[in-house]
Amino acid sequence: MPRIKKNEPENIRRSKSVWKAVYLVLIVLAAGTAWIQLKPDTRVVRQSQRQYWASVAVSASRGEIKDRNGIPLAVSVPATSFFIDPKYWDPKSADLLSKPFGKNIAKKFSKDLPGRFYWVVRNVPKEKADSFLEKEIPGLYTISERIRVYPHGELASHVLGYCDIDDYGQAGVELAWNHILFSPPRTRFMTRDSKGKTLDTMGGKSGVLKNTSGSIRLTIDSRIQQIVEWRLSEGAKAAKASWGAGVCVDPNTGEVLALASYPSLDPNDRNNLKDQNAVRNNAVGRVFEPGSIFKPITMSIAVETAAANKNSAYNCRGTMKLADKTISDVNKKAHGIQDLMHVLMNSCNIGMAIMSMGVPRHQAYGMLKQFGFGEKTEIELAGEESGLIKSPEEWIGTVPANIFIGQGIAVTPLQAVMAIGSIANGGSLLKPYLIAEVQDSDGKVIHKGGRRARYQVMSSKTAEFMRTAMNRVVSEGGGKLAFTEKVSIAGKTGTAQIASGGEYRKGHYVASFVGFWPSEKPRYVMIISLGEPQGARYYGGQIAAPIFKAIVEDIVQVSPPEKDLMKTELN
Amino acid sequence: MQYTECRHENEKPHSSLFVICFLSVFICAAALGTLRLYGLYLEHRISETAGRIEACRESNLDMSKKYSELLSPARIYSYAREELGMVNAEDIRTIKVDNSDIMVAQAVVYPMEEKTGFLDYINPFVRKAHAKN
Repeated sequence: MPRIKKNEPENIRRSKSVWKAVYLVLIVLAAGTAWIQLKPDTRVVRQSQRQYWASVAVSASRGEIKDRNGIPLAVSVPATSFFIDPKYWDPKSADLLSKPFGKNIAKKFSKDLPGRFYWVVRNVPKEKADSFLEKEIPGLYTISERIRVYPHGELASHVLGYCDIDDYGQAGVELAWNHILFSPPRTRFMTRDSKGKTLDTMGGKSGVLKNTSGSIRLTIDSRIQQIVEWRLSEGAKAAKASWGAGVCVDPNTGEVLALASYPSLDPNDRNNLKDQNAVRNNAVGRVFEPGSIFKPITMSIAVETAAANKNSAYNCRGTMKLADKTISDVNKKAHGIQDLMHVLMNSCNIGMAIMSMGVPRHQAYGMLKQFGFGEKTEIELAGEESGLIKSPEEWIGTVPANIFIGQGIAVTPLQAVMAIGSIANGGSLLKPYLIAEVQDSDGKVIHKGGRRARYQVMSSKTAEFMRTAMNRVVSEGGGKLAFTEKVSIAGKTGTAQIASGGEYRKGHYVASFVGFWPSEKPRYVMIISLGEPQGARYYGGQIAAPIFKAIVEDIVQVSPPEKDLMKTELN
Repeated sequence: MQYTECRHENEKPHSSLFVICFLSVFICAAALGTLRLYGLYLEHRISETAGRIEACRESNLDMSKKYSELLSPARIYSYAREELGMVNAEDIRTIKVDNSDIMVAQAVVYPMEEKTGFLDYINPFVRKAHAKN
C-alpha cells in the first residue's frame, strides 16, 4: 500500500531552496576556514605572534678552552638575567629587589619608567636566581644566559684573558680567538601570557639553539703552569718585586708549556679587572733590558761572525774606558785573562765589551733581528709587544758594548726565552705557539699548531759550545743557586738596570734567570724575571735562580727526566 | 485534508545529496580541527623535549665546571699533601750512563708467521688470532 503523504504546500518547497542556500553558505564558510587554517595571511600571523610571542636575544655558550691534557680551563655555565618591563611593573614592588640585588637597584625601579625594557641584574648564578624566582613578582622577568667561568681561578689567567658581560673576549686567548669561541646571541621565542609575562618555555617555534662556537686546546700543561705560578708568586713576594714573569717552552717544538705573570688575578671576580698592574701580561706585554741573560746570545753572534772563538782571550781589569763612558764589572772586580767560556761563567762585562768591538754592527744588528728581537714572536695571544732595538746607525760610542751586555735593548721575556731556546735545540729559532688544536662546533679540526722554524740562527757546533758554557755557569759560575742534583741545568743569570729619563737609576733592577734542562738533551727552556725587587737581594743569581731551581725540581716530580738517557742501543 | 501519492522516490536523491555534502564538509572540518589540535599537541611535545634537551645541556655544563674544578692541579696538590700526607720525592736523580759500557735488554718483536695452509685458512679461531695480533 502506497504511503500517503500530505501534499506539500508551495511555501514549504520554497523553504528547501533556503536550506540549499544555507548548506551552500556553510560549505563556503568551511572552505574559507580550511583555507585560513592551511594558508593564513602573513600579516595576521605576525600580529598574533606579537601578541602571544616575545623574541628575546640571548647569549649562547662560548667555546671551551682546554689545556694540553684536555682539562677545561674556561667554560660557560648557565646563569639567569633579570629584566623589568615597565608596562607590567609596579614600582611598589621595588622593595622586594633590595634584598637580593641591593638598595641602589631597588631605588632605581621604585619610580615609573618610560620604555619597555630595563636590565635589573645580569648573569646571576642559577642557584641564587632560582631561590628568588619563587616570589613571582609581576613585571620582573628572567632570561637564561651563559656566564664565562674559569674553574681554576687564577690559573693561566693571563693566557686565557677574560670576557665582558656579553661574553665577548677582552684579553688573552679569549680576545685573540674570539672569532672561534664566540657564538653570536640568537633570538629566542618565548610565550607571553595574558598579563604580558614572558615564559621561557622553549616553545616549539624556538627549538634548541645550536651552538656555533668552536673549542680550543692549548699547549699549556696546567700542572706546569700551576708550579710556575706558585713559585713565581712566592719568589716575587719574598723579593718584594713589583712585577714578575715566567715562561716555559719546549725548545724542540716551540710549544708554550707555561706562561705566568705576577701579580696574577682571578678573572671570575670582575672587581679584580680594575687593577691594571694585575691585568697586564708581563710575559708578552712588558719590555725590559735583559742584562746578562743576553750574553749567551751576543756571544753566539760573535762566534758565528768569527769575531770570537773558543781560544779567544780577554783581559778584564774590572773597569774599561770606552768612548765617553766607563764600563765596569760588578763591584769592579777584575777577572784577569779569561777565555770565552769563563767570560760567560763570570758574566764579565769587560770581556763582552771587548768582544763587541770585533763584530760588524750591521751584521750584529741583522743577527739580533734574526733572533727575533725588535719584532713580535707572533704568538697567538693579544697584547704582545715587539721590544726595541736601535738601528745600526745608532750603534755608536758605547752602544754596541752596552747591547752585548744586555743594556740598551728592550726585549720581552718570551723573546728572550725563544732566543735561548735556539741554543737549546741546536740553533733553530722557532715560533712559539699556544694553540695545539682548534675545533669547530661539529668537532672538526680546523687548525693545528706545530713546529715552525724561523731561522737557523747559529750552527749546531756553536749551540753545543754555548750549552756547555751555560751548564758550567750553573755548576761553577754565577748561577750556582740554580744547581740541583735532580737534573742538570744550563742557564744564565742577569741583573739589568732600569733606565728612566735617559739615565740608569740605582736601586731599580730587573733580576732574571734563563736556562734549560736536562742540559744534555733539553726538554724545557724557561725564563724567570722579577722587576724592581725592593729587598736587600736583587741579583738574578740570588732571587731568580732559586725560583728557577724550585720550578725545575717540581716539574721533575710530575715529569721525570727521560728514561732514554739511560738507554743504549742493542749491539 | 487532501492526500496525494508519495513522490519521495523522485525527491530522495536531492535531499540525500545535501545531507552527504553537509556531512562531508562537517567531517572535513572536524578532521581539520583534530589535525590542528594534534599539531598543537605535537608542538607541545617538541617544546617539552626541547626543554628537556636544554635542561640536560645546562646540567652538563654545570657538571663540566665541577669536573674541571676537581681536576684543578691546586686542588689535587693540596688534597695529596693535606689529606693523603704525600710529600715530594727527594730521591730523584738523573744518572747519565755511558752508552759504550752498558747494554740494556730490549724487547724484540718477531714478525708473526703468515698462516697459509688450507686448514689454517678455514679455521675461524686462527683468523681471529691473526686479527688480534
